[in-house]
Amino acid sequence: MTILLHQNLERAAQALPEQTAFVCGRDRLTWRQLDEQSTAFAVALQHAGVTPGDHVAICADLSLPAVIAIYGCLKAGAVYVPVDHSSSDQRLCALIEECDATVLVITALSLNTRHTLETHAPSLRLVVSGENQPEQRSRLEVVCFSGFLAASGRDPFVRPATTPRQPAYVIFTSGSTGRPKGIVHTHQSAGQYAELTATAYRLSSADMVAGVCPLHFDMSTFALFASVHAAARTVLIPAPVLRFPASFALQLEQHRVSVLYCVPYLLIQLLERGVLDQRLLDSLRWIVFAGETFPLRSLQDLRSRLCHVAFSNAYGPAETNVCCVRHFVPWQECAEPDRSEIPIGRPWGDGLCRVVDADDVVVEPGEAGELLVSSGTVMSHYLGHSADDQPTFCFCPATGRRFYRTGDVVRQNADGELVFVGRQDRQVKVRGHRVELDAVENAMTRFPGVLEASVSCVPADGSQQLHAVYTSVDRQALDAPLQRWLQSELPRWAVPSVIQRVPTFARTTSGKIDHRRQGQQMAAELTTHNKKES
Amino acid sequence: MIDQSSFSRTEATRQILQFLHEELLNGSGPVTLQADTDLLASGTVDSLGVMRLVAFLEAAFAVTIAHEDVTMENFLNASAIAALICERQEGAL
Repeated sequence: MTILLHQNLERAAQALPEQTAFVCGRDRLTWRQLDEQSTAFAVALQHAGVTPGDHVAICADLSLPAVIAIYGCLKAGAVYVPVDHSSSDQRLCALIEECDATVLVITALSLNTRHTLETHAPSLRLVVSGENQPEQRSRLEVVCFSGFLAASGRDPFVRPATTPRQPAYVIFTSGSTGRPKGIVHTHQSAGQYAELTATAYRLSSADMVAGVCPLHFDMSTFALFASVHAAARTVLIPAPVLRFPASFALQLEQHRVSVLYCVPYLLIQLLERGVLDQRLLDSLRWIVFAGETFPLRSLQDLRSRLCHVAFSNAYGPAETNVCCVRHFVPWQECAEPDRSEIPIGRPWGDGLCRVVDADDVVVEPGEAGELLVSSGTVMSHYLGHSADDQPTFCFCPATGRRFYRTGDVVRQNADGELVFVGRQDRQVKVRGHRVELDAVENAMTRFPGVLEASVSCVPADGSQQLHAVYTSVDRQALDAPLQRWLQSELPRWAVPSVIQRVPTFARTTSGKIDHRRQGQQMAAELTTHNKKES
Repeated sequence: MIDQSSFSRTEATRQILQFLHEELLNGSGPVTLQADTDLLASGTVDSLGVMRLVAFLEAAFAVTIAHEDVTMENFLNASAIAALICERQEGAL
């Protein structure tokens, strides 16, 4: 049964009105408070002229007002568009214009941002700011969050006739390779993801879910929708805390977090600098990681350290929500045999996965190919494009099912599970040989002492060279032994010509390694180096 | 390296502010960076910045900062960091 995302909230508010729903720092909201305040927000949006289908940009750190605003948007039939709150005013304006947002909800509005919005975001009519704003005569109406909520007074809420197929939110890609694309998810695709997630990790009202992913990152929907689906409590841990692994670990203990969903980077930080031996994390029962490949040895280290915790690898581009899952039982029940890779698992729910070659023909088991996904959790369309847009989607002639082209290369292992091989756009040619950069990184992180790795293909001497950087435990220099190890593990053309230790990597705002920026840095360093040489 | 005998919390605060301003903000950040400016809320220090800052403190003040001391409370502002440095230096003497 498909229902609307905010109906999950209304159901929880009826069942457990006085139980805590969301916690952030010292503040908390019960289910009743969240339900009432999000309704007040919806009424206020309606008063402001927002009609179903309108886009509302939300530029905020993880916070209780952001959750109220998100559910308020959904109740009003509006589509929320999360924007990274650390992004530039230019990007903020570009995204607002891309989706014609009429309302912006923002944690704090600086004078500069206000001026830029007035001139560069003509679609915008209203800004709801977390802080009080000085009176100013301008085109743009600016109100504070609490005033906006209070202004709706006791006006009745007129429920719009929203259907599950209507858009609920738009998440923009980073646009690192061109114009950002808006991924449109509906109440149905997000709702089905929430339901599958709640079932897979057996979420219940006894759980405390940690919400650590920023709102503009698709992984944030775990804490926003899956935990609400199960009426589980959620503690929001905003970005500043995550910069201090020891403080992050302490919050996990103090809030008695039971389920944690995040990128591998945060888990590696917890393992390295979180002082886990001083923490009592007995409530923690499940860690789900996603977003990028977890270096195998760090995962094994963390599993043996938190041996009572189940782990899962959730895989799926933001366009699909999650489409494959691989579960690992707690270490104490079964120490996994040594393996060289972490499978992304099998499709979940009604999902279908196909591994195809360049002609869209299904490959033999064991062979690598592009992964196509058909599932109810797949996005409806890219903003401004149709739901049968080619080459984003393709259709199976036999069944008529729509498949999303992930651009990810995978293969099936002997157990029938899928294994991530690499991104199609991270496949390079070195001296005529095809190399998967992801596979080289995977080999590097298997070497003892290496934490994470990033490999780039850099133009050099009229051809292409592989350059690798890595981070290591206690900042040990491992260049030479690592090189020897790679020579034994990889074909010779896949062994990087340059291997260098770095203190840390360039990262995206969601915590993934920014391989593109890392590669640019390496190319730039090489140019400088060559200039010095000559 | 700083001469231990002439070391004081005020001096430490000054040097930390200077590092934050020149190294982490490349001299381009808010000019109003004070000893009590909230470094976390203002976004002055990101996760990369935390690691660089710790490396600077260890080198400049000849102290060892354990992982458990790298917390939000200890790194809230320049004067909190200076207090942590003084405490660690006294502990070492």
